[in-house]
Amino acid sequence: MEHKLALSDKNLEDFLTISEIKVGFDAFTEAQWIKLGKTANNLCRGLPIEGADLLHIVICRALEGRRRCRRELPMEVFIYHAMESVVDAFIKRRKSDPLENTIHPLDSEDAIELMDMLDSRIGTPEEEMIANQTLQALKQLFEGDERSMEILTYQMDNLQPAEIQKLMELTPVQYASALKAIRRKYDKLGLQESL
Amino acid sequence: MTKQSKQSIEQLFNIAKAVSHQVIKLPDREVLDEDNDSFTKSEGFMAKRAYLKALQTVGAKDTKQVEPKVPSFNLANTLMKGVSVKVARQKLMGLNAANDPSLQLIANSANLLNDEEILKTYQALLSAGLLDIG
Repeated sequence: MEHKLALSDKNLEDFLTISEIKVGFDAFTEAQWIKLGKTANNLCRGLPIEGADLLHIVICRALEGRRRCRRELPMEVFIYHAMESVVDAFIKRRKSDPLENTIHPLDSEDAIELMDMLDSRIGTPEEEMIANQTLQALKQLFEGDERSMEILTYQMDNLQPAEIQKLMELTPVQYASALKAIRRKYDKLGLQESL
Repeated sequence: MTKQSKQSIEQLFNIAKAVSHQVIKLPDREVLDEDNDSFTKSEGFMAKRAYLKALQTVGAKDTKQVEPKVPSFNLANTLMKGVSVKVARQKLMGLNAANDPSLQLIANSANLLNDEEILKTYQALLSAGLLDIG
């Protein structure tokens, strides 16, 4: 038991305390806030939830000590991954059989909170419309840009960068350049939504 | 929900992940140089506000746990009385890196906010103890 406690204490030291997390947020630069805002909006694209709500849920968990940040991890990376895992869990829970949810009730508390928050909007025609329209807008945005569209199609199928490069016979430099062009164009999707 | 809509959500999520991984890895300098429009700045401002709101939420929960029966007294609300939008906006615009580097973002975005947002932000900063009363 003593050994276990000692191990546990040692492990705790690997993570930022709540006070340190707050200090970390207070010292965030403008660029770090932009990265968080942008990625939160990206992850909510096509979902009936705002990036601000997703960020709020995740930051609350961090400030309550329910999500812990490893010391070596930059805080914006920590928050981003927390957001990504919440949305991932949310999508998986929505896909799964209700019976399966009762067998694994504790897979993601945050995803459940998101489900509760969106309860009245899940499975509605509006939700379907948002998802389909957003995907349509994305395809229109890249219409005529065959290379970008091909990369996006592979990304939609969740292929890894190395696989995509190999399939398209792109050098790392060519691939990085194509990704940069996609990212800049993708940003316009957010601008369109805000208008 | 149709199978097609479920698939659309997953496909959008996969693209969002790929793009966001790039964004997160960008050097700060590049983010600022590349995205110099007001929309991008408003995304940063949104994130900052989500943080301030979370501070309030978590703070409120803590207070509730410690003193559940004490009637709530909102210092920020009290201080808001008599503060005009103009004064609040000036205060926000006056924030600078000397106060807190992260507040610079709010100062830069103050002109983009409507009256209600100005007052909400002013109140949030007061509650978080990030703004001087004087």
